[in-house]
Amino acid sequence: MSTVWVGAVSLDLALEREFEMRLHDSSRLAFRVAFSVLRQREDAEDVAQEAFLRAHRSFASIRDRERFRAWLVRTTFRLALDWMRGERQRTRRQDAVALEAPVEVASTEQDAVQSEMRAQVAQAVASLPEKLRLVMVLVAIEEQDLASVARLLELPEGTVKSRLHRARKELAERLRWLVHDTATR
Amino acid sequence: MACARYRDALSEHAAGSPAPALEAHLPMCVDCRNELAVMRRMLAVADQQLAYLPKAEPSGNFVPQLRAAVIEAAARPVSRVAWRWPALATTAGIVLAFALFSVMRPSHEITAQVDVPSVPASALTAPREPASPPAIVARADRGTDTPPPRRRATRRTPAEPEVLIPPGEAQALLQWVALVNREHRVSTLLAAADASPSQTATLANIEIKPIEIVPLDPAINSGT
Repeated sequence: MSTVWVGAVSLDLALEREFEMRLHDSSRLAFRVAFSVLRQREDAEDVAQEAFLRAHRSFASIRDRERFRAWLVRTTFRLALDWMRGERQRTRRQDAVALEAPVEVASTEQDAVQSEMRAQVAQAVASLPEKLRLVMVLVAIEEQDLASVARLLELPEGTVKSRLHRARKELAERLRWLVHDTATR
Repeated sequence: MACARYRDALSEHAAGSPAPALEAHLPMCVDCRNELAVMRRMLAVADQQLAYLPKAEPSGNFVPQLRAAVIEAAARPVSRVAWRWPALATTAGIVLAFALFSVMRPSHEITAQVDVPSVPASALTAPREPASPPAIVARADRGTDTPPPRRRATRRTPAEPEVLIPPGEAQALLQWVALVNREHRVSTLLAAADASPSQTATLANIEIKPIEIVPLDPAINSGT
């Protein structure tokens, strides 16, 4: 088997070809997972890139497609959370304009209310426990395909379903308290 | 504020679970209805935000940049020192521990000094107690002219091995050592020597006189 030595890292040609396929296949997934946490395209691309660099270093042990995607999702999610907590991201966010779903607004006042509500919801989602949040995000990314999320997380489908329900229930709880806090302010 | 007993059911119901008791209660309670409506509206906003995720696209040059970054990172030499530090530290620790162990370990080996043939007889140390009887064991089968050599318990000191030899036995010892060295039979000879206790001469009984205990303090001796 032929081997390519590139600097200190070597992957044989077959592995390199496989990695290229995974990169092509999963780059969008990694970006979206990072974006779900960071809500900022540039940061999400940086985090996804870091996840792929790590994947390249460990590729020999995660070359199977399903295993690779599961590993990539978990790693990207954790990296994004770390990034979010980091000082660099905090300073950059001050000037950043988040990419969000376009919302139809009829008036400036309605716009302000919607904006406040969106901020509260984003805060509530961000405060969910990590494993619940990841399920919720992946279900959205995979467009409600629970079987696909179960494969990505290497979990039984029933566990995914139950975590999704818990996530929504906790989110409802948190949103309720946010609304009460806002009302009593 | 919603009724306390239905709080949990409200969030369950808002998340999509059926809650028959709550559903029966809702027509009679405005607060619970309002709270459920708020939670549902907020969850709908959350769904709306999450629903954008499948449509989020990276920039057009994301994949080429990703590929380039992977190639560049692979080409960058890994810091040799960085990954070697743990290995170096471990090795240094092992060496240090071994050195300390070697220095501090007391040596209890009983050694026959067989590396002497090249040393002249004059280099052997003189006996410290010339009048004392043989220290441990004397072999009876070596003949009268060639008194048997002694095995002596010695502490091995690498720099200067010390051998105590009874008077007149230096020549015999040298001959024995030369024989052993020539035949390469150290272990065989030593084993044979130990294997036959009947051939060894026993030491004479030592007579020990009764010990008289005298107090050192003169005041006690004088009885005052």
